[in-house]
Amino acid sequence: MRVYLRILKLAAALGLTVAAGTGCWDYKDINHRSLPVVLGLQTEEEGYRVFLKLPEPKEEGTDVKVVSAAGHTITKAIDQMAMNLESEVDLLHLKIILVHVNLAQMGMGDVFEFFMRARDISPKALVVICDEELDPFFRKIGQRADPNVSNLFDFFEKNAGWSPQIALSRVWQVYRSVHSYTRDVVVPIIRSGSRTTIEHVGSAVIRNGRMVGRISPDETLLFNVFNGENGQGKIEVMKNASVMISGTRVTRRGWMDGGTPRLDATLNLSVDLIELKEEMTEDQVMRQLSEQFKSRFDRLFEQVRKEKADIFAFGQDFRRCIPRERLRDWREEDYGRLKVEFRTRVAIENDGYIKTKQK
Amino acid sequence: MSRSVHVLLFYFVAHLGLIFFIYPEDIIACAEEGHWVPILVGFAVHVFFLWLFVKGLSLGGNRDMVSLYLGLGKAPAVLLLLPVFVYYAMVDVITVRAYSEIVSIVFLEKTPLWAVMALLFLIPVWLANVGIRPIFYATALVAIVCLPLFLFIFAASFQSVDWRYFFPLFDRHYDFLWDSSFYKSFFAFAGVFLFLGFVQPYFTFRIRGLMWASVLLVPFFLFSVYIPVLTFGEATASNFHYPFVVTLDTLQINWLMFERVTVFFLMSLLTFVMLLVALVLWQSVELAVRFFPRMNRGWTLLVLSAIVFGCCLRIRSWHDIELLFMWNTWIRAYIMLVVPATVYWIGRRAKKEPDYESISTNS
Repeated sequence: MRVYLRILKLAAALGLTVAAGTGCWDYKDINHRSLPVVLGLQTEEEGYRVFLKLPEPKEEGTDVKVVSAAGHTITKAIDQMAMNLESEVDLLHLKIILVHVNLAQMGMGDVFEFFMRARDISPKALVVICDEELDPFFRKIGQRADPNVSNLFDFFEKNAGWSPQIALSRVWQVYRSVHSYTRDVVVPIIRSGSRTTIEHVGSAVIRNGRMVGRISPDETLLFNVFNGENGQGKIEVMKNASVMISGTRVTRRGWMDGGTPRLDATLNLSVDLIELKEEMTEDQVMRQLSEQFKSRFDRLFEQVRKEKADIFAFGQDFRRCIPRERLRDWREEDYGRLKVEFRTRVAIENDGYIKTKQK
Repeated sequence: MSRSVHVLLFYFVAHLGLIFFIYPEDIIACAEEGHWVPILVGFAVHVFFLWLFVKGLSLGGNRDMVSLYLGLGKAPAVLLLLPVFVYYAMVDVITVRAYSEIVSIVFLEKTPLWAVMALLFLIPVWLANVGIRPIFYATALVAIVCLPLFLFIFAASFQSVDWRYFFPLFDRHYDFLWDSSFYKSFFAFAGVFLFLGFVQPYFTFRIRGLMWASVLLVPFFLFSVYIPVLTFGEATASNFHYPFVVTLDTLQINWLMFERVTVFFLMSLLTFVMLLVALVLWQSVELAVRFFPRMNRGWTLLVLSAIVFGCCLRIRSWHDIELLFMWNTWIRAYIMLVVPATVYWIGRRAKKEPDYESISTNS
């Protein structure tokens, strides 16, 4: 008798668990969900216009369709679309957030707070700025795109179309720059291209969630290198030689010299020689290359310092020497007086099948 | 395997379940810089009173806590242990409610909260019903499955840390001592260790082993706070509920077939928490039954669970949980400070009076 009772109890417990475990109240079949990969966002007179790029399964392969709606808030617009679509919109697999340049210039603090707060949007989604109106942009890339692949996403995938002069900044990094005292980010800018589907035109400098300037792809490479991304594969072209970067490493040290913050940064660059003209020697190549990087860095640093955006996170190196209260105004106060000594050390790893003169 | 291992494992694992959610938020809220100071201060307080507690237990002849208190007479024992009973009920309510809230934030956003709570509560109730031994054996089993997973994700969470955020190293003001969040953070310590006062007749443990287990917890206490701080910086991390969980969401592990490791992390810690709730329930019942031997175990558990679950359902917002946290700060202080101190005192007294033992075994 007791055995029966125990089995009964166990069965009841298990049955309840199974019943609860199915989660029948919120179950939606996968074919009743739309899983957008790209979300586009631009401002309108009152609020935002949201674009969603949805894959649409067909009999063979998938098609892509772009839907849009306007609303006072982002959720309102998404809700509007979900209402009109025959399936539920599920933002769980969102990979790219495309922001129109005007919105970026106005400031995206609120927008990114929403992205971080929203439970279903991954903070790992990439942030990209679009240099043209989103409606024609989506139309153009839609015409060209091979429907079986998501071009926009592949463009930024490290194992596909990414190259070292494209910045990769994610939602959480942009959100961090909104609040952090000593750290800003850059975000890639794209537009639809004339030959290729997408054209990368450089990066936007984002300070506290607002776009304050633009930098070129070459300068973005410097940003990437400073952030620990190695610039492997990038071709550097000089007046009469070109090399391929095979490895980069940055060492840096900041200290206070009386009242002025000073910083030593050294870029260690390993390159492979590819092309040479006019009997260049290795020494000349090395000198030219380091001069090229130095002048590029100096120009870029001057620009972002004027924009008060610390994209190299130099302020991080002063956390040791500057108290927190002063760090709070780092961008306004000390960053403006920061003196950076930038050096490049070039090592030529190899020069291919042809011998080169040393000196 | 010696029986001591189960106890130490439970101590370790139950703390892990509590550390990673509410604790980092409280510590980040209570200090702007130099977070390691409040963490280590809290930990030192915990370890000192833990030592006092287990020392008292061993002086008292390795009996359980309730019989030690009963040596003082029934009325004082009831008075002294009543706060423990109340605190246990609150621990049940808070953990079940808070953790189901986390589950619904992280991955079951459309599931009604009562269903999540029911699942989270039914299993512990069932475990508490079967007794303390199965709970400990289940702990060992769950730890074998979940600990490696947990450790892997914990190691992976160092992915985007920037060690420079560690500075400034020192807080100049030490304001945290006046901050209520600091005292709230003791929730991570106070909920667990009293179980050591209940395990004695069933399981034994060695004090030195226990101390090592608690030392092993230090890196987890430190990094549960520091991983969000090092990834986001204090200024950003202080905006988050569950900073550690947010940090997990930013992990990028391409070769893993699962995109969100957060869910796995949460599930493994959730099982630890369920074991903790089960043991706490069992202890509550044990307390009640020891004082009123006429009570039936099963019914007591059922009534208690119904009350706890009712309370869980009554709590409507996160704000209420925070209030509950604030209210039980005083009981928590009692649990953390007064209970170990009195146990030590009783243990010392018991050691001095050789006939004490015979009295207590009769009662």
